Amino acid sequence: MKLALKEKFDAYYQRWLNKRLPTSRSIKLTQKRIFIIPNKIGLLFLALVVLVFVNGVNYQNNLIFSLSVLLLSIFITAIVSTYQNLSGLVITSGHANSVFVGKSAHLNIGLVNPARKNKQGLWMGFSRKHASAVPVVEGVHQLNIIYKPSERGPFKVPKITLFSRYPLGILTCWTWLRLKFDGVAYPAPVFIPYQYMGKSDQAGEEADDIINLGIDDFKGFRKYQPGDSLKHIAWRQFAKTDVLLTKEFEEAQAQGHWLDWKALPGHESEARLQILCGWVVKSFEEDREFGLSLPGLDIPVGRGDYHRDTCLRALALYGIPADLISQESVIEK
Amino acid sequence: MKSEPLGHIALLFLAVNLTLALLLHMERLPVWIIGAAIAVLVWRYFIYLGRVASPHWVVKGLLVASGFTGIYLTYGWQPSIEAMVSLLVAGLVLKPLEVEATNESYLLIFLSYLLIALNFLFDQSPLGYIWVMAILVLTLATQVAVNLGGEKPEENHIISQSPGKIVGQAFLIFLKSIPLALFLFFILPRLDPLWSMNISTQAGTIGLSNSMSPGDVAELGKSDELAFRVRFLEGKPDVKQLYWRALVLDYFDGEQWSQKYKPEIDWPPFDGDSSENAQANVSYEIILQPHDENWLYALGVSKPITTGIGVSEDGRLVSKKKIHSQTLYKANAQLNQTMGKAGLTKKASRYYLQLPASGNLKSRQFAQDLKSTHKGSLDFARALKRYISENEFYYTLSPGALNSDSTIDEFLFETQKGFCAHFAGSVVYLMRSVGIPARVVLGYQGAEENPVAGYYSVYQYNAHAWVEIWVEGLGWLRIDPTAWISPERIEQGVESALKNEFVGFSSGSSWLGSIRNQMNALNYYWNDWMLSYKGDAQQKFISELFGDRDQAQMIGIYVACFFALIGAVFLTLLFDFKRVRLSDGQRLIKRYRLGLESKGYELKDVMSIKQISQLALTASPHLAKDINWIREQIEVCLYVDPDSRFSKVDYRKITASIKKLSRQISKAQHA
Repeated sequence: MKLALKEKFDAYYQRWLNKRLPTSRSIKLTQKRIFIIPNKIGLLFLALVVLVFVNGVNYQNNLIFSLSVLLLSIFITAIVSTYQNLSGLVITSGHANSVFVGKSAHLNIGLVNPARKNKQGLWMGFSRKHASAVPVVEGVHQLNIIYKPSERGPFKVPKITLFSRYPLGILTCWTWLRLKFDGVAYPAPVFIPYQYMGKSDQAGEEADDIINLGIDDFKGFRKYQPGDSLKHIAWRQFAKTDVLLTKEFEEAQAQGHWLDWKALPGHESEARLQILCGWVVKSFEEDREFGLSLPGLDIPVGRGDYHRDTCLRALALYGIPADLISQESVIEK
Repeated sequence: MKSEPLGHIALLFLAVNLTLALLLHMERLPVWIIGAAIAVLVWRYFIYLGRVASPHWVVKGLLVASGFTGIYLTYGWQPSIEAMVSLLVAGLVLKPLEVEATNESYLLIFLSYLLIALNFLFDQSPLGYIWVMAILVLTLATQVAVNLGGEKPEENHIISQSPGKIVGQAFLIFLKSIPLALFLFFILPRLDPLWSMNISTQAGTIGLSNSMSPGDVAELGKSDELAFRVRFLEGKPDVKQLYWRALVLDYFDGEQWSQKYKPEIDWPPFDGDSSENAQANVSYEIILQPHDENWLYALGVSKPITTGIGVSEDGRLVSKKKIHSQTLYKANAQLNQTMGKAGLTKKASRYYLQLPASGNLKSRQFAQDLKSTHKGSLDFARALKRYISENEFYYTLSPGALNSDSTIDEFLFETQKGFCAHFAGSVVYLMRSVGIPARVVLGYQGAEENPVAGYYSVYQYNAHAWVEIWVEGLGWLRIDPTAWISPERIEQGVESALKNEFVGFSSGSSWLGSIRNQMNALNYYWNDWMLSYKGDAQQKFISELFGDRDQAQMIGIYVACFFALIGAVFLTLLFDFKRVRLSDGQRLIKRYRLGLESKGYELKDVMSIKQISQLALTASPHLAKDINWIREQIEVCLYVDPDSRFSKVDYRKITASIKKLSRQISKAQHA
């Protein structure tokens, strides 16, 4: 019963918090977002004030009394100072590299301090326990925070807490940051041998042969284009002539292999995505041309970093409603 | 909550803080604690250097146990403030051995605050207060230093703060806290303690004691410690009349005088009615140094004006509570009045005629003989005076011990050397042996004037014992047998030895004397104001400040003030935005733009100095020379060396030519 009540309260608290602190790309810490409360040390400090006060009354000693009111007043000043240390700070979400589920992504976060005073003694992390110290913020400061996505799709970065006990350590002032990052979590790749479902008629049984033919059959040079695999750059020529050339190989362009959703009938859709992901990774590593076929989406045959990223992204976002995928930056005022 | 290892600056602050807190209490700490403190600091330093490992918990446990044992051995089980302070200090001293992380260091810091507070029980001087406030700021700085976040040497990105900056931050917090603290200090009513837990100081007080054995008063005679200060609000009695009564001793056991008779104490309600006091010829205010006793000092027949003070039947003033801190009280006195005129109760006269059953036969015989020739009480007293002044009696503070069973006999007829206690005791003995009720009065005689602040100081060496005898119809009369000794018989040796100790303060050396007076005056004002700002004084101050208002209005004013002050603290939040500092070049451009814009030119926000100049040129080509010159100057400033500053003269020259330019433009426009 008690537990249920607590859960209910937690849920309510989370809803309230989410409403109060909407997700965005840039957050300015204002009074609406900053919470402040005396911590354990602060309560100890108040106990000290009471103790000094009691001594002052007991010995009818005005000086001890003056010290107790001074300490109390310092406590109130500390409320302002602690709050001031956080307020005004602008936090923006920066670049986030897309990674496979379970791998570490670096979320780049920018801190901008528009105030004259430096922000000191800040801590940031997904929870108080796992927070790390932020150096003194004088003007602009960039930092990375490591995030491990647990499911594929756009990053769902949990709330990040930013807190500080500066200057006196008797109050904790904190905020929750719900920052939006562009990163995408690719499905965790699963590596199994290729299976093909003919996109064109020639495909199927012969596909392995085609692949085996491939790479070594040198055709000639052509001018380097961005996206060409680094493995195929003619480094020797580059050293001689300073011109970047790409080695071209005899390959059945039209018969570039297709990584096909339909080739994996026995698997559930998440597993299919993971296997497809593994194939994409493998094909990229082996520098093959490949196309990706998902229900309702065909990515034509291609190669290179960009092509790989497009395919992985398609796999990551497969089946996720479009309104959850936002590409454009929304900057809150 | 995460606790970070402390940076080296935080450790440095903690060490300094600890040292200062110890210094505050240095004089009342046993030597071994100070030794231990130094040892622990050195030990901790080596741990910090990494040369010594952190002590094992067994070692720490043993240290704590030996600390407790040491305190027990020094102070015993008797609770006293010294023991409490020592206990705190022992904790404070041993704590650094374990302090590695932020959270542990707070205990150390809070202990320092407590020690600072306890220091006020011992030292309430204004200079002491300033010193303590300095230590308070440093303790705050330590707290700030601890909070700067762990400073890891391998991670250079944490900008290490200079100690000076940290102290600056602490001082700012301190300054911001003062207005509210002052307000609370002036407004908050001082509660009467609802409990009475008075652990008193052990050695802190020197003063009179409940009983008089001759040695005690002699010891006091050598102390120059302050007993109390007094200011006369009305009337200014002659110093010779200043007999401050504190104790009345009635019981003699053959060696010591003590208090057996417990007279009734009358606790007059405080009525503020001064009509009765109208006949009083002296009205005075005393700031009493704490002596941990109930008795107060009073002149003649006194009536207290301050609450909580009673008048005993034998004319003493008594405080309801023991005096543990500096206390101020006021009383009215009638110097010419005597008490007990109406008569003496049977019970009282029994006490005042008490004598030990045996001993001092010679003295009794002497008194009987004298009485047979001088029948009246006053006559007898006069005869006694004549006897003492005509015989070889000497006044000295070190008369040597009296060893026989009959000390009075020995003093009166053999040694004849003594000080006030000997004379007073002997005279009371003689009086009683012929049936005259008599008693010894202990107190202080005289006072030293401070002309700067207009008050008098009474020191321990003013301690005195004298005699009161009861005469039918006249009441109790004061007799001071010490004054009967002829002045030349005061032994020079002892007195001059005493004087040597005071030579720096003697009024003979004028500038030292005046400095002393100034300092004492400061102390006096401090005591009069800061220490006694409670009760009536507070009431008076508040009603002077806000006028006489009813309670509801007062509460309204308090609440308004309180929130106004807190609001003022919060206002500082508003003044914390970066003012963009413009370089000289940027400032000049701004001026230039403003000058042109006021003449009706439209300038885009992003225009460079080149574009602005071209615009100006097309508008007024005849001013090409000026325009180009200004442009050149500004460009040099902006692009050649952005940090450079113009000299004042150059800067003025450029602004002047900008002004000239815009004047000429407007002239051209009008034309």
